[in-house]
Amino acid sequence: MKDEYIPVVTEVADIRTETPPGDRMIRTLRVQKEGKAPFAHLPGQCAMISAFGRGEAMISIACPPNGEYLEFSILLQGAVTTDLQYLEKGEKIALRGPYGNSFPVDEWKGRRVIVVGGGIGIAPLRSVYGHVVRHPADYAGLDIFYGARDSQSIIYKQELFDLLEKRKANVHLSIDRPEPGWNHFVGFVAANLTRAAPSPQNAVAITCGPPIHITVTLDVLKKLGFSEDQVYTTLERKMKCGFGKCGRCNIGEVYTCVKGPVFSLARLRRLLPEGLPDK
Amino acid sequence: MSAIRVPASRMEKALAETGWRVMVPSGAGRKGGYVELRAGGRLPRECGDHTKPSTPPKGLVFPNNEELLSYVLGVKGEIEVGPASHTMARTVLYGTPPCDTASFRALDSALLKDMAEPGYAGKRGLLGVIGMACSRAGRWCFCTSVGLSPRSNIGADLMVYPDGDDLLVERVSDRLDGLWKRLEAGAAGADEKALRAVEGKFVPRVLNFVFEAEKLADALEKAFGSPYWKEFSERCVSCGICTFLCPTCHCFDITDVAKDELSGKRLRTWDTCQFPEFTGETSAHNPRKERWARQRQRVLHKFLYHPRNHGHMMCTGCGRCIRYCPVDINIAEGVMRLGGSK
Amino acid sequence: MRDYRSESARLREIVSGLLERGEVELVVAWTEGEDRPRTRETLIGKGREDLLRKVVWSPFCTTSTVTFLKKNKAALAGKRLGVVVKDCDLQALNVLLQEHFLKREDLVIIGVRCDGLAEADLFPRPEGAEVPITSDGGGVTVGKQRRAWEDSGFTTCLTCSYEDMKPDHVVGEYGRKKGKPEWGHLARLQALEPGKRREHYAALFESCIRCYACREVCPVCACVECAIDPGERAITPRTAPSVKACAPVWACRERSVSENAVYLLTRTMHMAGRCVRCGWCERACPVGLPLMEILDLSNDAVRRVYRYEVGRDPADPPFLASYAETDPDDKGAGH
Repeated sequence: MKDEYIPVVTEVADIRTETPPGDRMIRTLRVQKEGKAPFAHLPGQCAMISAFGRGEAMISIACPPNGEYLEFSILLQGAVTTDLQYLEKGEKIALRGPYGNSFPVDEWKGRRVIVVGGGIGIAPLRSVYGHVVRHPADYAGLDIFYGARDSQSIIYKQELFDLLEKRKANVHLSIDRPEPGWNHFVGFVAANLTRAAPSPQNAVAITCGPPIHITVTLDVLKKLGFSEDQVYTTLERKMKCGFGKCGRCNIGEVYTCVKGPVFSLARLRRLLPEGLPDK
Repeated sequence: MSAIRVPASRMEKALAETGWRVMVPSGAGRKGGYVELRAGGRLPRECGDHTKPSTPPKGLVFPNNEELLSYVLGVKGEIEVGPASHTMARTVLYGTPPCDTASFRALDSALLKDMAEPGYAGKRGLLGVIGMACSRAGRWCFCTSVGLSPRSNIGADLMVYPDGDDLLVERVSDRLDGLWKRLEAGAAGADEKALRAVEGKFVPRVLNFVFEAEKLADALEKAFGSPYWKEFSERCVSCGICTFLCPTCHCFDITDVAKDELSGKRLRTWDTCQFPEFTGETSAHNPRKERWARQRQRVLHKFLYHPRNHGHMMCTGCGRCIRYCPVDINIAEGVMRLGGSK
Repeated sequence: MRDYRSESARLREIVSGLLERGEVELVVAWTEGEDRPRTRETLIGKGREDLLRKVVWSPFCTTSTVTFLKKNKAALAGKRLGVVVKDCDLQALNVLLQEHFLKREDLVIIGVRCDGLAEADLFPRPEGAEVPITSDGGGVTVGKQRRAWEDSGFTTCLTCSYEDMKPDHVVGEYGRKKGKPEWGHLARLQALEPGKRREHYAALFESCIRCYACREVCPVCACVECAIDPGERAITPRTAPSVKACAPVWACRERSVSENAVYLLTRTMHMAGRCVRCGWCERACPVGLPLMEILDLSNDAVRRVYRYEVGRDPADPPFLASYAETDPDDKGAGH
């Protein structure tokens, strides 16, 4: 029988420093096992990454399925992520997964995908927009709304500017406060979304970010006429086991690590009010 | 044949012949526990609230402390992971009251269904449970309110009903067939009628409250936003007694214990929804930071979520959480207020 | 002989008077629970006749209203409160007042003079509301059931010597001579040869299941974040990652003699001069650990060697914050 607790040992194939060193440092680790992805995954799924002696952390997989590698964008936050920030290219990293459900990207074929990310919340959404970019013929279009507190905190910068330049997606970037040289939107992501007012017709919207970001985004999408089954989010909960046993990540009878973290708003409403983000 | 009548001494002999480890309830109340029967020791001849230890039998297959893996790191960043064995000596649990016996149904469905929890799965496969009909209900017992009774065999592999110097033994599953065959050889059969006759001596205590699983789940779902949760838990001190002593509670923590900079182990330990940090995320966000939200989680996990997922209540009415709660929080009282029926 | 029905009636008068006159917003008092003679701490506001009717004082008021204040500190902040306390609760309250955890001016203290406590579960459930609960110098009686004090489950009460209650209101008169602290059990343990002593304590530490009931029920264990083994962390969304990553781990989650010892012994050290010997931790312990035996290691030094009386008066300096030239030195402490 497979021992679910035993992680697979992989190698850090590449590291991108997304934001400058400091308390909010984000690095993207690319991991491979023998030159390939250590396991197959679906957009929106997560993996449990080990920092031995410190513990494990559930991190969303921040790249579309490609068979070649997995990527994780890791925000410096606590003990595990502090250790992970010291990893260097070529070193080993242990992880297990994939865990959780995924965004139903196959169901969405033929529709326009609208991504609304705040802060580090863009990471799980990248697995979706990356998938749409890889299969442009399957989807009616791609909008990416993404904001961070300042221009330094914007991650995937090069990739997003490339998408914008090559017109592979409508990228709407924003930062919270004005900065010299910033010629995109200034204000919260929700305000940017209100301004652009994408049509709900033949579209799905996905959002992730801090609880307040999700709450406000859901309000805006509702005002724009999106119905609750057109809106998806991916939730964060404290997780230890990752496969529905340890008992802490539940929303009602649903364990987020198994039947989440991806929920349509309609499904979230059917669960108990506990599932809705804090006001 | 699914039931036989044997002298109690024969059970003792047959169990000894198997060479299996035998665990029995020993010592009632706070000082008690399920302990190994010494060679030549007597098996308990009766069970009831007066023989029930404060700690339930779950720790046998779900220990408070379980190693999940060990690791050795190299100075150049190499990682070596050693799996844990998750095994134990072949064990029979003998003489558990029906509340503790039935706890294995809840634990099995929570920890083995879909993806099995490796630690529990490994040990559970080596455990047989011989339940015993209960002859004395206690002050806090409410098994008859949760669909069990002093004579129910749910969770048992063999069920024994003491009858004078004899035992009526009922075969409930095939897990202990090795023992069953030893007992059966030359033993008098007991037909359905004889079984019912002895069983009938273990009279269920009639309580004035009954929890009907489905109705209760619906009622509790409606009561999710009830202000009563605050009243129910205002004196809660957030200790782990109600859940650590619960025979069905199975939530756990996973933490690393470093031996030195380069080696250590990963441990699974009991955890509880009552500790504030249970759901505390590293970012400081905590979806259940209030005590009432945590008590609500405990009650709903038992009477709403687990029933929805597995079809039975995650409570066996053993009464430990009420008896040992230092501030007199009474789950039966709370459930009655929010959705029980008289 | 003390009649707790009439003392409870007197207590109800005081509590309802304070609420009626608006002298306090809320009162923390014991009420009768579903499972009499058990009682429970309850928060009572004006107009809650349903709760007021159940207010009770008896030797079965074994929980601490001060623990209730500790647990509900945030919710009760800034409110003027009445609090019903027995002798050991008042000592604990004084410790918290000495340490500025609570403010005296926010509280109206209603003292109930206590002759000792009794374990409710040792008595049969009284049928009907009118069963008298009485006590005298020898023991407690509920209806027809009588138990001697020595037999009522509360060893710490037998050696309680506190009788300096200075509350704002008081109910009852002592009906029994107060005891004297006794340290014979420690002398017996300390007389054991080191190997045997080690065995004794190792067996004790090994049984701990780390449910933390001892810490959580303790009226004076009031740190927001327990330094030894935090069940709750004092962090906010603004706490720096380095602070969270470098939080010391004194006792890890492992249930082992050494880790459990770190938890239990460090707690004992932190209780020096704070433990009021109410004994609730020991009674709450679900695996029956003799926790007072450990706590008394520091209680003995504080009381016998340094002659410090814990929680005697809110104006006293805390034990660890007081110094006198006449303090005995380490050798005198005997440890």
